[in-house]
Amino acid sequence: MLLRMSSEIREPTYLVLTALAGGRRHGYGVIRDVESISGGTIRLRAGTLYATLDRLAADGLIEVAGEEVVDGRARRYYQLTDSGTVALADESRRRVVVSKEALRRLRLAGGLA
Amino acid sequence: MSARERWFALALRAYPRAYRAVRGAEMMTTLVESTETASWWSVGADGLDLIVRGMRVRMALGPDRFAGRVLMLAALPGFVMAAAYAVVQLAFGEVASSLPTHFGPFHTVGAAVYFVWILGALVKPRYQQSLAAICILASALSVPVGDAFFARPLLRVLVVLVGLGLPSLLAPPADLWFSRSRTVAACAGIITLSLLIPLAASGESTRFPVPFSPLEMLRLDQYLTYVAAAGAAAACALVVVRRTDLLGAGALVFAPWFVAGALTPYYGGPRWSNNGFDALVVCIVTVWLAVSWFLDLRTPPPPGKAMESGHLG
Repeated sequence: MLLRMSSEIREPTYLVLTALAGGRRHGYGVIRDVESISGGTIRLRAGTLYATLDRLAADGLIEVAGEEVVDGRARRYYQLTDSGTVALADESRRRVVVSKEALRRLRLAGGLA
Repeated sequence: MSARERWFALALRAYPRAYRAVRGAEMMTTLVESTETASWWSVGADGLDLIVRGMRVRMALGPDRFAGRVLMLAALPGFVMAAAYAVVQLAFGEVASSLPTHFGPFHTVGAAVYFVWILGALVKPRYQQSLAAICILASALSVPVGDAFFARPLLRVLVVLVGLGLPSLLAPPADLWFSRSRTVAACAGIITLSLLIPLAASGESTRFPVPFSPLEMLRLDQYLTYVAAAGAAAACALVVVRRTDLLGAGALVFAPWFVAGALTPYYGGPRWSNNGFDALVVCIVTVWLAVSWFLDLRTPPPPGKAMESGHLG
């Protein structure tokens, strides 16, 4: 629903979706993955992560993919839905097109070797 | 249970009980695992972030709730109007006519603060709420500072600025909703209107008409019936196309002006007189907003339908 209101997915949400593209992840797994994908520049706080997961679940882009208790600690796993996979692929293609164009222009301007 | 876990458990209590029943144990696990080697500062910040997020869920202000959507729509126009109003106050407001009485830090610092707010929110949307908090705090602090050193700003100015800033502070973080080109166009229009309207009014007096009314300032008060009818038609059209969130956002943005106007007689200003009908329309929409929000509060908070597969808590 919210995705229809805008053509862009902002960085933290995009990173969460990207983390889940690698397979199902639990909360801390997503945080670690996002930090790794972003080159250490973005560390999601738990409150932010779960607000993002709520929103993505409400939009039908992710779903629960199992629960378990490890060392007395509860974990819930998430994965992309089919809609989430399509949304991530669309957004990634859009970003690739923009990035390629940016690099092309930089080369033309002599800004890149 | 360690001190860190106790702190997180306390912060988690900001979330509603129903939400904690679904998510509490899982969130605690994530919090503990993600802060095992973190500094006390990071642990504290995580807890504060939880409290803010939890209160937002508790107050049904998430992006998937009606009130949240209304706030998101009202946030940007609201603070753009606040910024423009601060500048207009500086340029054409009370300073010119009554410098010794009303001159204070707000009239000099206020405009700069609000410009930082709007620029910061446009350039770095992720800091929108922090900037909104700073602006509102600066506005509120201008009262004691003004009392101590200069003179306090006018109550109606404070009410308008804080009222316009609140949606930006309370709205869910900007994500997935930000259509920059449309927003920039809307902002440009609002800024232009906000600057031109007082200029049109300043021919008669350097002071704003009291109470503030955009219609009055545009010298449209003689056409008030038609303008109100057009507003009512627009409201009906929004209801028909099911964009009640836009209608609510409009009410939120205009409400501070009317609240300021309604307060005027209580602090010695001229009586609130010739904008009763448009105020009535805004009041009805505001009451409807409040009822919608209250009904939304009574429905269970949504961890997302897909999340309700089990209860770990």
